[in-house]
Amino acid sequence: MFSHSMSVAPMPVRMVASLRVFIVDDEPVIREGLRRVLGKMDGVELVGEFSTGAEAIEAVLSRPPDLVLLDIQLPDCTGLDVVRQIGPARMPMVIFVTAYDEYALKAFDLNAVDYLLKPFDEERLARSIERARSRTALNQHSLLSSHLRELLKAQEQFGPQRLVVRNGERYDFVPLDTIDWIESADNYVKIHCGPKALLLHETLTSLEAKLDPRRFARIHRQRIINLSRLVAIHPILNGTYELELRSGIRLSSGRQYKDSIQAMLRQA
Amino acid sequence: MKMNPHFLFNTLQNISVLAVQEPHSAILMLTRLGDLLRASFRKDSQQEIPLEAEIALTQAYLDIERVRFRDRLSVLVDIEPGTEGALVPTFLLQPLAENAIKHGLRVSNICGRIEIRGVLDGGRLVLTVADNGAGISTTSLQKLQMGGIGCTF
Repeated sequence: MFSHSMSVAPMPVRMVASLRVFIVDDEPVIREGLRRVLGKMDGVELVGEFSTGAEAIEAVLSRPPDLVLLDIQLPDCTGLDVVRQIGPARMPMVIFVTAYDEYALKAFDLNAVDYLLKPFDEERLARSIERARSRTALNQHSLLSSHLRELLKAQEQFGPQRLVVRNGERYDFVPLDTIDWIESADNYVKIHCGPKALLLHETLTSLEAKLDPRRFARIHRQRIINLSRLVAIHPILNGTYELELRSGIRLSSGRQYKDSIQAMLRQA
Repeated sequence: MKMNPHFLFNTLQNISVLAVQEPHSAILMLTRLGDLLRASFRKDSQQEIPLEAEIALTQAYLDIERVRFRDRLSVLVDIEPGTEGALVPTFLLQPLAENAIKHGLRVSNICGRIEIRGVLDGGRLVLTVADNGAGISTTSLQKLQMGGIGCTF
């Protein structure tokens, strides 16, 4: 019934630092439950536990974590007050934990990653944490040092630095340099970012017009690639090619894009 | 008499954690919560119940709080023989016990003690809820309007 696959390849080195989390809840048993689930998750590190808003504010300002699990009803103030006090610029990602959902909509106004209604189980908590984690992956770009930002400024003069993609009830920011390639799919374009794919309601041609041609190239009626991902070009026949990306995927080009691909070869 | 939803859902979350780690505490919480819900579902919120039953409700509430906050809380009940059946409004004592915990004991981080006493004074039943916690300043006490009853948990 069960098959176990064996892998001889070494485990990939974890490049992403673990997600550092604060728990803020005044109920010790509830904190214990949160601690237990976080302890089981890979790449998640509990770095602080607090039972009042005042303690949480001080700790976030002095040693900010990546994510705060924040109870709404604290003994000295509400979780929303905590976010307001810290301010949106310095507030880490937050998941509101709430016994009663009167505050839920307000929580989303404050740009919460998610909110958990009590009682919740391990699975729901883990799902919210994963949601936060996928957000950090997309935002690695924003963590670049200011020095590096200066270097990148030259590129910023042409085109946007990120795409805004509606994802259910929220909007995701997708930094352009996380995109591997883009394909058209009916009235949408599908944006491939590593293992993830995001749908954006736009035509490929209008998206192409917004992108920097030095960084992205149209290779097919239905495909655009990020040139920084290109590792090989395999000629096929009659002016068509297969373009191999860093991930190993090979994308065939359209015959009408022969010239732009030959231009890539000359630049190389 | 409506139960405060925060109390209800936080208690449920406690039960879900304890079900794995401390099943006995989870069962205790569940049965006490059942007692409180049954009383709060009664149609007439001002319904009177025997003092004995009211004290049992208050203890059910205190049992939950003791687990929820890992309180080292002791409760002394001392009512004059013969007053057990005296009719009192439902949830008369519970809000007083809640105040004793929230404002008296939890802020002072001591081994809490709550005393519930009932004595007959002439034809009247005098009920007292006392705690050994932080106490209240005279000015705050003067601002308080005494005399209301209600369920606050």
